[in-house]
Amino acid sequence: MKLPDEALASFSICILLTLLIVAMLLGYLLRQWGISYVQEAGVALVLGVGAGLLVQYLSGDQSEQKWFTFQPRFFFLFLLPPIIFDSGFGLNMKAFFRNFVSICTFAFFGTFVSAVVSDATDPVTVLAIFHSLKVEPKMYSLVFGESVLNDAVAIVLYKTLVSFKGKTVSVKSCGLAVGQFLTIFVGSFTVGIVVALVSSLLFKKASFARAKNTDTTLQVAIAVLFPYCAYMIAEGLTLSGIVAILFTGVTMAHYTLKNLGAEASAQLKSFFRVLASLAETFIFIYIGEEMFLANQTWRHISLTGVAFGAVLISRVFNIFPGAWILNLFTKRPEKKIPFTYQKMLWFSGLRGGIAFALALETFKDIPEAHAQAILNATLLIIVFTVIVNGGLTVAALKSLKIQMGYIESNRKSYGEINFSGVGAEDSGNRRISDAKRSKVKSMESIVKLQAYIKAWKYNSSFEVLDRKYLMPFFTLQTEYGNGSRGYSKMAMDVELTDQGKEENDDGGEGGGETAFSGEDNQLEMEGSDEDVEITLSSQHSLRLVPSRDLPKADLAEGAEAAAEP
Amino acid sequence: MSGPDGSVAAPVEDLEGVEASEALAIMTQMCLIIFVFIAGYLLERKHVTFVSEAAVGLLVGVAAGGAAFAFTHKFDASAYGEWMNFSPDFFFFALLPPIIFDAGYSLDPKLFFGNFDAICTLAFLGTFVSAIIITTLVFVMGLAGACYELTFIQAGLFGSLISATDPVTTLAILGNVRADQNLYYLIFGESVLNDAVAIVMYQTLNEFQHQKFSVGSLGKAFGVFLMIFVGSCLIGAGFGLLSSLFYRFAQFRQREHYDIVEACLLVPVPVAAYMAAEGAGLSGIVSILFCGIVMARYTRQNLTKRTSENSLAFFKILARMSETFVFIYMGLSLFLGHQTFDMWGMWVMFVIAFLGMLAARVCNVLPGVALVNMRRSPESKISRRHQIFVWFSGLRGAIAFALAMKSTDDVGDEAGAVIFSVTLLIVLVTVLIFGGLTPLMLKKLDVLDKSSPYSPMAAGDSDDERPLGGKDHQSDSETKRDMSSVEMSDMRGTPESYVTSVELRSDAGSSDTPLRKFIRTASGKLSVQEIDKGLHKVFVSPQ
Repeated sequence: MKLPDEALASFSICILLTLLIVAMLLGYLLRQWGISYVQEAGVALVLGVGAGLLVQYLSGDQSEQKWFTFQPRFFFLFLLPPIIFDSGFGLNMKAFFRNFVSICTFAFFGTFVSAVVSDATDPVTVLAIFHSLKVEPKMYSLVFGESVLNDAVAIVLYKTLVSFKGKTVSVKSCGLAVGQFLTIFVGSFTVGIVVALVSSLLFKKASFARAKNTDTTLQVAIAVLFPYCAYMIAEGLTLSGIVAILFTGVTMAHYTLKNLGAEASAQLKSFFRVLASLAETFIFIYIGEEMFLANQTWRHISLTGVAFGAVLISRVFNIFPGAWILNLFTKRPEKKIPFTYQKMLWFSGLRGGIAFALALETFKDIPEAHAQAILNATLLIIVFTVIVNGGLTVAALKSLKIQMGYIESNRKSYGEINFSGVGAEDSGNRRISDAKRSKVKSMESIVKLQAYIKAWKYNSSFEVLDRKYLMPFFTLQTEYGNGSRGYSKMAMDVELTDQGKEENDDGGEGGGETAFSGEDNQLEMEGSDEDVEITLSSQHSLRLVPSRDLPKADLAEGAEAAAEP
Repeated sequence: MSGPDGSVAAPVEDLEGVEASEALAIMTQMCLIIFVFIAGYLLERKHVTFVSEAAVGLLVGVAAGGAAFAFTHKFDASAYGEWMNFSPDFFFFALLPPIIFDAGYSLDPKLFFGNFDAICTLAFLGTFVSAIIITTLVFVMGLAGACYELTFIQAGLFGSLISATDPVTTLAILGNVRADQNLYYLIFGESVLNDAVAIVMYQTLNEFQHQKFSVGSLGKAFGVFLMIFVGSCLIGAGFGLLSSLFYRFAQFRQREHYDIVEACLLVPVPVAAYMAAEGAGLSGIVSILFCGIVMARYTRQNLTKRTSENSLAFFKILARMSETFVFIYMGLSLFLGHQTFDMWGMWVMFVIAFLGMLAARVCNVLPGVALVNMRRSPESKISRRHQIFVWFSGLRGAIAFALAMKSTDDVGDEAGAVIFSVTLLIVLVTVLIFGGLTPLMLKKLDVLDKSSPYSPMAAGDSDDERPLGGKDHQSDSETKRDMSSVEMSDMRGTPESYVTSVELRSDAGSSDTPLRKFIRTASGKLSVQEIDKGLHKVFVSPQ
C-alpha cells in the first residue's frame, strides 16, 4: 500500500484537504467580519492559485502534479452532482416555476447567441455567491435557473458541435442539432422526474417512517443514492446528468421528503448541504491550481481579451432582448422583469467550473495549440469574473437596490413592502403570511371555487393535479395530512436561503400554516400553468406563455387581492 | 434514448462511449446498493437472522458480477467491466476511511481502552502466530505436492494477509447483533489493529522477494512495525486534537447561524488524518480510527448540539453506504477478478488454508487470552465462552481481499491468481457461513448484551464534561447472566447500539464500579482517566 506513488497521492490529497479547510475558514471569517468584496469562491481561487504556483515550483515533472490537476471526469462524476442536487432540493419551487419561461428564454435563446465553451454561466459559481448573500428569490431563481439550464445548453451544444466537426454546416444539420438538443433536454428531464417518483413510491411502500425501529441511517442512505442514480442514468444514455439531477432534486423535495420521517429528512438535507458546500469550495481550489499547472502559455492574451469582450457583449444581446420579449408578453406589472434585474442578470454572468471542464475536454477534440488557447482564455475569464464580478456583486446589488438578506428582513417585518411591483413571488409570500393573520377564512371557499373553475378551464393545472392525484399517490397521506403539505411548502420557501435554521422555522411555520393549506395551494395557482407545461412537454413552454394572462387568471388574482386587508 | 444495455456505448465517438459505460457501471452499482439495503431491511423486518446484510451484499454482487461477466463477453464494453471490478485503490482511498472513522467516532472509548490489553495481545501477538502457522502449513503442503506450490515468500504473503480479521466484516456482522459489549469491543478492536500487523508483514515480506533474508532485516521489520503503529496513533490523535482545539476557540456555539461551515470543516479532518498517515508510509486505518475516537471524545463536545448530531448521522450514512458497497464490490469480483477456479491445486489449498486458519485462530486466541487473564483481576477475566466466541468470529473480509488483489501485481500472475481465489473463497465462507451462524452462536454461548435496553437518561447532554463516567448498567454485564431470557427478536435491528453507548458515556457519578477497577488494573499505573481528564481541560471549552 505504501508505494511511493500512493504516498504521493496521499500527500496531495492531504494538501488539497488542508486548502479546503483554510478556504472555508477564511470565507467564514470574511463573512463574520462583514467583508463583502471577497467571497469564499474568490478565496478558494486565490488559494488554489497559490498552491498551484508552489507545486509548479517544487515538483519536477508532470506525474507529480497529477493529483493537483483538474480532472474533468472526477468533476463531472463526483463534484458536480451533489451541488446541483442540493440546489434543486432547496430550490424555491414556486419562484423557479413562476419564472420558468424567463429562465428558459435566457438559458436557451441567450446561449445560442454566442460561442460555446466559455459561454455558459455556471451554477456553481453563481450559487456560491448568491446563496451566501441571501438574494431576493426572484432574482435568485432567475440567475440560478438560467445558469443551471444553460449548462445543459452548453454541454449539449458542445457535444453537437464536436459531432458535426468536419461536416459542412447546412440547414439539415442545424435541424438535426436542434432535434438532438431537444431530445437531450426532455430526456434528462424525464429521467430525473421518473427516478424521483420511483424513490417516493419506494419510501411510501416500505413505509420506513412507520416501522417500529426506525433506522434513519438506512432511509437516508437509500435516499442519497437515488439522485446519483438519476445522474448516472442520464449520463449513461448520453443525456445531461445535470438537468436530470436538478429535477430529481426538485421532485424529491416535493414528494419523497414527505415519506421520510422528520429526523431522516433533516439528516438528508444536512448531508447534501455539507457535501455540496465541500464540493463547491473544492472546485474553486482546483480551478485556481490549474492556472499554473496546465502547461500554460501566456501568448494568447489577445484572444482572451477578445473572448472576454465577446462574452460581455453577447450577454448584452442575451439578456436585454430576452427580457424585452418576455415583458412584451406579460401583462401584469409584477410579473415583468424590471430593468434593474436585467442589469443584475447581465452582471452575474459568472463563468466557472463547467466552462473550465469543457475547455479541458477540447484537448481531445481539436488540435492542441488551439485547445491551449481556449483553455487559457477560459481560465482567465473564470478568474476575472469570479474575483471581479463576484467581488462586486454586493456592491452591484446595493446600487441596483435589489433586496438581500431576504429571510431575515422578512422575518422581522413581514408586512413591509420594499419596492413596488417587484417579484410576484415576493408579494405572493407576503400575501400568504398576511392571510395567515387576517380573517380570510370566509374567502377561502370563494377562492377555492375559483381554483376549481380555473382548473376545469385549463383542465391541467399542475397544482390541482398534484393535490388531487399525485400527492396522494406518491406520499403517505395518513401521517402527513393537509397541514403538513402546506407546511412543507412554506418550509421550501424558507429554505431557499436559510442555511442554518430551517428546523426552527419549520416548526414555527408548520404550526401556523395548518388551517390554510387550501389557501396556500390556491395562491400558487396563478403561476402554476408553467408547471403543467414542463411536466407535459417542456419544449412547448415558450409558446404557451400568453395562456397565463387570460382573464380568468386575473379574476382569481383579484379575489386574493381583495382578501388582503 | 435506447435502453440501458450498453449498446449506447457502441462508440460513435470513443470518449463519449467510455463515459457512458462508466456512468452505467456506477449506476448499476448504485442500484445494487439500494437493492441490498431494501433486501436487508426486509430480512430484518421478517426476523431472518441467518442472512446478514453483508451476506446479501455479497450474494447480490456475485449475481450481478455473473450477469456483467456474461454481458461484457458478448459486447465489447471493457470500460463497463473495468468500473465494475474491485479496485484496491478505490477501496483504500474512498471506501475504507469512512467505515473505520465512523467506527471510531461512534465507539465507546471506555470499553475500547478497558479491553486494550486483550485487544493488543490478540491483534499483535496472535496475528503474528497465526500468520506463521498458516504460512508453514501452506508452504509444507505445497512442497509435499498436496496443493498448489507457492514459494516460501509467497506463502508468507498469503499467510500474513489471511490471518488478519477484518474490521469491515466485523462491523457489518457484529455491529448489527447485540453481542456482549466487552466482547464486541475485543473483537472489533482486534480486527482494526491487526490490519496494521498484516500490512506490515505483507510489505516486509514483499521486500524480501528482492533482497536477502537476514536477522537484521527481521529486527528492522519489528522496528518498522512499532513505528508504524505508534506513528499512526499519534497522527490520528493529533489531527483529532487539533480539530477540537480549533472548535474550542472558533466558538461556533455562539453563532448558530453558520453551522453549515461548522459541519463542513469537520469532514476533511479525518480524511486528512488518513491521507497524512498513508503519505508518511504509516497505517491510515489505525490513524483514522484514533482520529475518530479523539474527535468523538473532545471535538464533539465543542460543537453545537445540532452539528454534533448531524455529524454523527453524516458519517454513519457514508459508512453505511461504503460498507454495503464493499460487499457488493467483493461479490462482483467473483466473476470479474483474476480467479482460477479451474485449478485443482487451488481448491486443495483453499481447504488446507481454511482448516489452517481455524487451527491458527485457536493458537491465537487461547494462549493470548490466557496471557491476558493472568494479569486481570478475577472478576474481569475473559470467560471460556467468550473465548470460544472470539475464536468463532474470526471473520475475514475486504482488507485481506484488497491485499490479495494487490498480490497479483506483486508475485506474478499464476501464484497471484491462486492467492486471490483462495482469499475470495475464504471471505465468502466466513461472511456467509460464519456470519450467518453468528446470532445462533451468540445465543448458544449466551454472550448476548445483557445491558439492553439502554436507559435513555443523559443521552441528550453530550456537553457534560465528566470524563469516563461509569456507565454502571454495562459495567457488570460480565456477571449478570440471569437475564438471558431476552428474546432474539428484540436484539435485532438496532445498529445504533454502539452509538447510544457513546452518547451515554457522559453520565458520571458512580466512581467505583467494578469496571473502573477493571480499567485501573488493565492499564496499570498510568490511568487512562487521568490523561483523559487533562486532555479534557485543554481541549474542551468550559461550558
